[in-house]
Amino acid sequence: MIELKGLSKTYRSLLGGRVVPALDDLTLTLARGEVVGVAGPNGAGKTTLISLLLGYLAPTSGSLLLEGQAPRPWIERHGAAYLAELIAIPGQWSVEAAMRRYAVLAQVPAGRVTERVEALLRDFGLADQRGKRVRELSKGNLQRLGLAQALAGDNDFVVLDEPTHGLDPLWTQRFRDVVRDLRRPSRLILIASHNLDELERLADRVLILHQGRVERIVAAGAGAIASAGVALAYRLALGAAHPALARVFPDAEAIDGRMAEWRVRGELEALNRGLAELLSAGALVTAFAPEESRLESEFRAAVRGDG
Amino acid sequence: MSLPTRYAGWMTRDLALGAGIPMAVLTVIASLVVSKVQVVGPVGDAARAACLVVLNWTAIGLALLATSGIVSADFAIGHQRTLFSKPVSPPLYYLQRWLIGGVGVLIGSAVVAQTIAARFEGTALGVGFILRVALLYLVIGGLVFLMSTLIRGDWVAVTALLAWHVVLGVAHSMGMERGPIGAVLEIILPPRHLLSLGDPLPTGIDLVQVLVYGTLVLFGALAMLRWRPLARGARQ
Repeated sequence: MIELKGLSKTYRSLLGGRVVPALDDLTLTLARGEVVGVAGPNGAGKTTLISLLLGYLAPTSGSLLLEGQAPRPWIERHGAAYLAELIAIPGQWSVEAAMRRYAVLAQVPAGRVTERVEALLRDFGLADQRGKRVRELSKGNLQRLGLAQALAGDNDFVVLDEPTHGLDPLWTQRFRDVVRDLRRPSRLILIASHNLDELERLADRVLILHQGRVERIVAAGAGAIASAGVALAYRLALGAAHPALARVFPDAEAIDGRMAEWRVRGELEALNRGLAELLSAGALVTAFAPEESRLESEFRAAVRGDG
Repeated sequence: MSLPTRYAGWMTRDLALGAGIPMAVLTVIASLVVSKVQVVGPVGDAARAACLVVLNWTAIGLALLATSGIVSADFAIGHQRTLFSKPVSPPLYYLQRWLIGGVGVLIGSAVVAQTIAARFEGTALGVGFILRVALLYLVIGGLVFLMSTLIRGDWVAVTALLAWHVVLGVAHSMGMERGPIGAVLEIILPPRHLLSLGDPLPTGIDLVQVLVYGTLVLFGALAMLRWRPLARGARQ
């Protein structure tokens, strides 16, 4: 669906005195049906990449095509479901009026605007806020309005920039369900976030940007961790200290000196065999969870410049 | 690509509840002023001329109000990022907003013109009047539109240009030399002197000058909207 070839973007001051490279030589293909995460430290180029994808900026060099077309004409024809990092909706608009406006602009058929708006207000918990001015909304409600307006149309290109910023845990969970429901073979979903856990749960792969370059592309999701064959650190908690532990996991390190919490390392398959052995020896396992996700360790390595 | 006509109702509402309020106040004040002008005796012609001056400046004021912040208000808060992720063309979106503003200017000007006509037993409204208002809006409203794609203080900049034009005109009428800079400014500044609503429609070279100026500023604004980055906004 989207092809980036040697894409670079450099910001220059008006007189050319100050030059800031934002993206450098990105070559990449994004396909329909994918959920792609974009991670990176502040200033890595995430928002610039999104601006280029939506045709808000022109590349300094290289090319970017959406189904063979430049982004701007494509967006003007088909539209995109876009949640900006900073949601800017005129403060004097009411929530319902804002939704109606965006539904009209998103080309929702005239006879379906009310139905669509009502469904979105309900789905995003904004029905009781409909009469409020946008400027009166809390950060979380504004974020939900941003998400709702993004989904006003039925777009095949979805771009969500920091979608869970300001959402409480309940709505963060709801957001995950929304993204799962949005998945379909014709749709490309791009999520830029600092929340690596979020990306690991939702994305099929995650681009790690650092200083304008794609440092790594990491397969994400539970399946990716199992098939990756990477040794990761896990936290193992037992109901009580057990003598079988030293035999099953000889390299286990006690966490904070407590004999019931241990750090174990290894590939998932070997760790599972060890856990089975431990359980059969009568140990009570109360928790077993990754200390750091694979994406986090890849992110850390990419940003530090390892490997 | 076509105008987002289904959104025209919301744009009209924005105009009515936003710039429409000071526009209505200006129209009412101008109408009151012209309705109170003394029309008897030999001062009648001077009174009518004074009313036409009020009408001209009211129409200019209405054009400034109708187009003030037309583009820059959205860019100032970064709203264009949300707007133009929808299947909408920025030049056509703002062109439609500009045209709706023009209708507001026409209505306000017509009210004042009709008040003058009622006082002086004439008829103000007709195709000629609409064309004169359209030309004035093309030039003044078009210039604010262009400025609005470039800077935030769009109407302030155009008001300063108009004031400068008046100063130049006064200086010229007092016999001061225009000089090469004055000649250049004459071209850059809007040809307000050719846009009097009380005069017949400009013809010949004057009409060409007005049309070329108006077309350049309007298409300049549309070209800016086509080519300028839409990423600029609150974040930057």
